[in-house]
Amino acid sequence: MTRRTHAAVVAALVAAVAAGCGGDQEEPEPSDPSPATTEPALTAPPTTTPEEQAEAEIIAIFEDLIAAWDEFKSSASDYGGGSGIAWNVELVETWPLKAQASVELTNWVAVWRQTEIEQRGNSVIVGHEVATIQFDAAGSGLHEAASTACLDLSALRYVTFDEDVAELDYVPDRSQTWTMDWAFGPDKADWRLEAIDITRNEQC
Amino acid sequence: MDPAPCQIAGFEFAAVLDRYVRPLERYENELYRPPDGGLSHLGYWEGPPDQGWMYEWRKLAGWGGGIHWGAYGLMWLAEAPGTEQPVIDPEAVAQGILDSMPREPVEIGLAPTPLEQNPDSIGLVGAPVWMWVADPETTTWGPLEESVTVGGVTVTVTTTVEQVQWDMGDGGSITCGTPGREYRVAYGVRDSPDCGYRYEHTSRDQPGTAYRVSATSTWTATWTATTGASGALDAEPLTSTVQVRIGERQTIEIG
Repeated sequence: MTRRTHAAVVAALVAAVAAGCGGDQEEPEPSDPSPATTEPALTAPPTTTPEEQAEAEIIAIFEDLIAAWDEFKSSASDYGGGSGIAWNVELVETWPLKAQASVELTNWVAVWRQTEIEQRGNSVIVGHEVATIQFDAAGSGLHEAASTACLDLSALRYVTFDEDVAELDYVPDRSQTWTMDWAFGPDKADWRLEAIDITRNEQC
Repeated sequence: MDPAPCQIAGFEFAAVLDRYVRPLERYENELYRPPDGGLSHLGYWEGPPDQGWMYEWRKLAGWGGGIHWGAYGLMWLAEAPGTEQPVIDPEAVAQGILDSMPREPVEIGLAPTPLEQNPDSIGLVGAPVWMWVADPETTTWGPLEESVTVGGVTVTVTTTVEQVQWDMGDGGSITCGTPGREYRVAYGVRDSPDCGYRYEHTSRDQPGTAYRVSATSTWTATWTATTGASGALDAEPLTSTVQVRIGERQTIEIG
């Protein structure tokens, strides 16, 4: 059972128990037309566990990252040129990346720019599962997580900087599976992607 | 193609390491640094845990159309690249301190009065001569002390006059370990209690019919360093000179 399923079951159980309160009474009191004091358990939003919170944050950050990566690929002609040798490093520094992930994306950005093509369309995140989350496992305040996401790239098109259809000398990926390591804290209040391993064209 | 930049988004090229390095943030340093951090298994640091810092390093694979990173990793460095402290030779530092100290030759005090002060002055053969340091200040007699800090090492030099050698100009010399007592007329004809002399011959055969008296102050100098090292230095002696005329009493027999 996944955490999400578990949470749904727990929520359902909470609702059932709450609905059954007072069920032993043979003659229920007539309902008071005036507003009654609301039971918090009935109306309060479901409590989010730390795991659920972390999972939601990682998924959202990854969505933003893929959107930024797409945005760059869609406007690559706007980058480089006279903006300095380290333009790609400066771009990637604005993304939530560290260590190997930062190195990889920096190189991917440079290589993509050198191909002088642009992407049309957006990557579709078909699924993203946060497999493990370890809160402060080493006692240092550092939280770690691992996740796997599958991207559907089948709808992407590629054009030259002149908007002609790009003639690629390779077959572009139709899908990619990103296996990722994440870190949070102890001082940084956001999850950041630390390592990426990509498997190409596996069925999502 | 433009040359590779020396700095790239917080990374700075360290020629001695042949790679770009960037200090980790404090929390990252705490996570990874030896001896207790995540890289302790590398065993490259056994000293105090508050020394050194963790750095992220990257090799540059190319910079055409943007930076291409090659190998990368983390490393511990005792000093930030480019800021390695020079090797300090405390004795050399100490010698430099000594050379800059305001040491001065003594001002000679002499009875009979030197010709420089009274051209008509004349002493007598066999009469007591008093020698003293007329200006026993720290610059002429010491002690002088001065410290300099270089590369985190503080070197302190102390110097003082050990003795004054009085060369009286007739071949005789006297070594005095004190500044000597200044002569006063009220003392009459008596020997100096601590630094005196008596001429046996007149100075009429000397150039200018005067003896050339020199006082050479010999300084001792020692140094200590905060590293625990210490030693002695060679301090150049300082000399000052005056002239004194010595005659003899003429006895005229009448008879």
